[in-house]
Amino acid sequence: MLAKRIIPCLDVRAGRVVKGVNFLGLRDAGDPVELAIRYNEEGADELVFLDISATLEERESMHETIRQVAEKVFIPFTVGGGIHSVESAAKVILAGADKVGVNSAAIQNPNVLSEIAARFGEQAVVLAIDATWSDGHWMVTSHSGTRDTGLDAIEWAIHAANAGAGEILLTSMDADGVRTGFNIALTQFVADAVPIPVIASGGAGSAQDFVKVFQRTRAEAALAASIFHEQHTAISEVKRALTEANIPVRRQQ
Amino acid sequence: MIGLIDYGAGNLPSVRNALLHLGEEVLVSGDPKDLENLDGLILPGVGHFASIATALDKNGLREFILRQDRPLLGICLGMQVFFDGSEEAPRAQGLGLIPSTVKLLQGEIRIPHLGWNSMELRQQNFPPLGAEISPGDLVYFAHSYAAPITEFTTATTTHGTTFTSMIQKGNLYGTQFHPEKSGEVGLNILRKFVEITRC
Repeated sequence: MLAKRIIPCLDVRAGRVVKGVNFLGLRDAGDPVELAIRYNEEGADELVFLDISATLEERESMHETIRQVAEKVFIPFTVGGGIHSVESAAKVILAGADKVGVNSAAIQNPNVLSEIAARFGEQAVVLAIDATWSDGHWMVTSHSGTRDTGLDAIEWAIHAANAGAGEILLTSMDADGVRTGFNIALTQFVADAVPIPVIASGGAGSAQDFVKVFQRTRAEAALAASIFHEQHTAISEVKRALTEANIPVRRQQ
Repeated sequence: MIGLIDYGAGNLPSVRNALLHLGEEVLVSGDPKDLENLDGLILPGVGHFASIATALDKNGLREFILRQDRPLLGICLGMQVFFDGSEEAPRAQGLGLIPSTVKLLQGEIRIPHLGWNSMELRQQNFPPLGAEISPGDLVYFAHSYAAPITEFTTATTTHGTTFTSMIQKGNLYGTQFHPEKSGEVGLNILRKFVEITRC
């Protein structure tokens, strides 16, 4: 039976993992390769690296980081941030990433999803949706949640699945960083609307939050950042709680 | 030395990294001249069936693969192309090394089949690559199309359909999953293939 996936997310800038509740409060959180190795050993099923480079030099250094991670860690990983074309996707994939996360660029030009899928396959294309509750529906935001797009999250998810996305990384901007649990309603509506896997993101505060999102929604995976980075909750603890709830997960032998 | 057949597959760097990690020497080339007389070959692959079928028609790779007799491991799409063809690209020609057609996964399931899943090893046809696999070990899949079960199937996996997750026919080996992305379990499978190439 297909296991539910637990995915730590790392924000990377200039070759370092950074953390902060917003772009102003960034703190150094370590070496991306060392952290990737640690999460792999702790039982992460997959990793997501979010490239938050602000300059071209920083973006070039991201490719070096990807190469180093790919040499040391033998589980799948996705790189998002700055993917706006087949060319930028190719650089990241040929450096060793398995998938690319596309967000704002797909809103501006939905063809970018089908173009990347045609070259590398749909399984390599992750559409990232940042959604917020607004005027009685879930609205898609872009540019790290700062811009309203006017798109409805569920309609956009359906469109993207038809356009070549192989997976949806669904972040609730309302729940993000608050640690009160995943947004069950948003996750449920999107996961019921699309035939491709959905990764729930935003709001994880405890192992039980993962149990709840898998019991109440059809999400295939769940992603978290701060609770893992701050060693608040270990991946092994999440997997133990899921096993006790009879949710299939991959356990290290 | 293992030859990694290069036709632009997205997972080639990962397969190369995994082999280097195992301490194996690797030669990456799309030219049959370079790939002759190596210990073994790996055909990586991910993406669309038409792209691999077209790529094999360049540089005489198709003829080379059909006439060479070293151990050959096909991964994911690299295994699917061993078959006659695929529903994904009905006009594209597979290598025809294993009779049957690759089909879209069916059932009340999400497609692509993405993530960690288990395998059922076929006792009557035990996979030589599977010596280190324990019950309960999971491996990483990323595909929408899959090969049906044939007499050469050595392991099966179920996602809606029950399909071939490992095959062996003489010196021909294949995995539908990605051993280069399946953690220690996958590295052990690649290590076993490297051992086979030394025989």
